Amino acid sequence: MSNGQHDIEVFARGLEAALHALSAEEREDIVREARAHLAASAEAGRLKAALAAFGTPQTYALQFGVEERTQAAGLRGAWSLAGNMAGSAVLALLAVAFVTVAIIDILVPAFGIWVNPATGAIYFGHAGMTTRAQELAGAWLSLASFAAAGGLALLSLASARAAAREARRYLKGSSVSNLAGETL
Amino acid sequence: MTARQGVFWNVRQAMNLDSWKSQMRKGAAEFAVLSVLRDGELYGVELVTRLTGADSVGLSEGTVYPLLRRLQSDGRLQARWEVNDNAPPRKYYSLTQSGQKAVEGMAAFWNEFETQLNLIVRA
Repeated sequence: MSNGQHDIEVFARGLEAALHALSAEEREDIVREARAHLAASAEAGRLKAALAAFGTPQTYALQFGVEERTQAAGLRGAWSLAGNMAGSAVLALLAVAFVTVAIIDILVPAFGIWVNPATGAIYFGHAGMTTRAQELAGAWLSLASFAAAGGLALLSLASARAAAREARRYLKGSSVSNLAGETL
Repeated sequence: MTARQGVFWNVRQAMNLDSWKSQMRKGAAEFAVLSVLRDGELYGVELVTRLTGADSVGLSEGTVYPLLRRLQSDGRLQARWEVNDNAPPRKYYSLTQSGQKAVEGMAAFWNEFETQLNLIVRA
């Protein structure tokens, strides 16, 4: 590979990376055209002038609306991150609540779902002084609570992982944007 | 006006002038690109050669392609790739119907604008 071809390749790869916010189709089209222009300039013996006119791949990419798209994607990402974090926290709290119910049900026999046979009323909590009350779920309450807590914990974990992925993407986007800004 | 105030005044005037030139060039660059395509399709390097001679319009190799892409997205230009075995591939640009109408409107306005402004400026 000649020096000229090497320089074109380096610019094209840098440009492709800098255009990350665009679709693959747009990226390919822009890079292909830049490569074609630089190759034609090299044939005419003016590759250095063409590369100087393009500037760095990052500054050149900014002219294709990359910054606007990155900012829009960043905003969407920030909302998604906040949503996933809030979702994860709510699911984790619900999981803790179900574990608490299960533990109380095991430790306090009078705690459970009760039905009053006389009135048909169903209530949740301590049986209290209602001696006629019959327990509805029995030991199944603790098992069901543990199962619900497990399911919610898994959902909370998935939501937290999605938030972490979004945070990494957001930070990566910010660093690319800052890099492009520094080269201006 | 002190010498220091004079320097600040000159800097501010230069900044205002640069901003004014930049605004003028924005509209002119689009008009220039659409105008060179009135006679038929051209590929990137041909367009750049035709457009970058006039420095005052503010078009360079680094600004022509992003502008072409924007005009293509706006529906004023259409493009097609032509692949040759012995040469780099070429992306040919041509005016769409909307681009044709736009450049005709711009040319008519430009003629009127130039005439009237010249009457004022050269009076």
